[in-house]
Amino acid sequence: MGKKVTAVIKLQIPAGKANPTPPVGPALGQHGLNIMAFCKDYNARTAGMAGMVVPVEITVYQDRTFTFELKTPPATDLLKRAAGIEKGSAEPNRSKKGRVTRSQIREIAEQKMADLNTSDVESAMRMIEGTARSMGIAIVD
Amino acid sequence: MKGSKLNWIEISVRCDEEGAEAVSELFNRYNSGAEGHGGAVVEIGGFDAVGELRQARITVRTYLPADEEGRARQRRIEEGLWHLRQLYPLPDAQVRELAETDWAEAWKAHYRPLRVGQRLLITPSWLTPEAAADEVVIALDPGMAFGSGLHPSTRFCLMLLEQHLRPGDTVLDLGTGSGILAIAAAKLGAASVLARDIDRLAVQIAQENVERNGVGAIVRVEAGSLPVPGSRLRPFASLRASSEGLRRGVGRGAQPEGFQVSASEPETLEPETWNLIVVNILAEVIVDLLEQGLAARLAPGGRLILSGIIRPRADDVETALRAHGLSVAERLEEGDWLALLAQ
Repeated sequence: MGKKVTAVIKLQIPAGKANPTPPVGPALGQHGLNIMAFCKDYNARTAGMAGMVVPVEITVYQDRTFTFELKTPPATDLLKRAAGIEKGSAEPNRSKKGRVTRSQIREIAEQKMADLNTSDVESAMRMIEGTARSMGIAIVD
Repeated sequence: MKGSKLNWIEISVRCDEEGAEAVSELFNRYNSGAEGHGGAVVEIGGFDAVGELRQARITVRTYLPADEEGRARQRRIEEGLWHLRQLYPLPDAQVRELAETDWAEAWKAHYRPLRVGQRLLITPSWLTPEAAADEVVIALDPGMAFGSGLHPSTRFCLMLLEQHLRPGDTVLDLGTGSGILAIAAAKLGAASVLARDIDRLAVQIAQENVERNGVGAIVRVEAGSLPVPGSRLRPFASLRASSEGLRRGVGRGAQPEGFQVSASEPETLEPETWNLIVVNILAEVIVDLLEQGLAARLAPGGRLILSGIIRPRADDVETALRAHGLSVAERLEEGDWLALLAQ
């Protein structure tokens, strides 16, 4: 059926933890979307990604139905997890906090490729390295 | 804090794409919300009548608990926005307080039973509307995509089904989605309905809806598009009939009495033609299906309901219909949408 899109909503939810409180409740509720159906499906699809924030893009149709697509977690989340730290450095230029290896950078770059503006792993790696530096994470071989 | 209602602060900023990046980053930085309540919500509106994005209207929102900690974060965000405004032309942020609501239930207030045509009544399952004796009630919960009956193209199909389905008809529903049209056909007196969709999620949802409406004995839901004549393949997503049952030729209302298939013979299980075929997809797909021989699958005197057609594409469909020996007998139009009954 030809369905008319009326809005696209992007938000970030911790994997497996979607519930009807903000931001999901009001963001979807104002469009009259079935919030519980969304939460159930989102949680089922992110069940194996506990500890990550998984961004989601919801397409809302004129008849108040919707579809959604999961995006890769933010590079900062993937880096923090790889480095085993809770937060980046407050002064990334002066003090380093945590370290990741080149192969971890490659792994993250490959995972993020789908959402980055490049089809080249090397340039994706450079983007991830840049993010790591801005968080004060040291990169080792 | 259980028992006392927590209120929320919503901060929203209208911006362009570039501004949205910056504002989102700001919201994520000062309201990361470990509990998962924080972060930026980006909403893109500004789609035109056919769902194309013309002039994006972007709103970035974030939600904070209306307590001391939340207010402190709100101040940091407002300061951050002030700084951003020195770089981008951003309108003022809208700040409002939201009372804690049972959002899990509140969205249901958007829905009412919907009357379509003369006697069809589509209702969410949590409502039990009073229906007249001759009314046909279809229970359908809104949710993931696929026909909820609110879209004109689905409504057109329901109206045409109601007028043109004859009791005892065999019906093929292509692009069944939620299964709404297949269920309506069954409840309006079809002898058998084959509902197909190429989307596996749709197949699953349609099957649930078919069962909820108690028409599982009439409607069969499968993954797939236009069935191939004389297909030997047993449909891989035939959810109802077991292979045992199929071999013995039971559990299929459409099979003539005494129909027998020996295990060594090909299983020509699909009827070759249908009395009524409904295709509620898109003009392009309809034209493709006509090219693939859709017209030949109509039984003598059969009717074809075509919907999901936007006005600018109507000519393509009509041309394709004529090329395959069919003519338009009825036309329903509303806004940009139109549906055709061909025979």
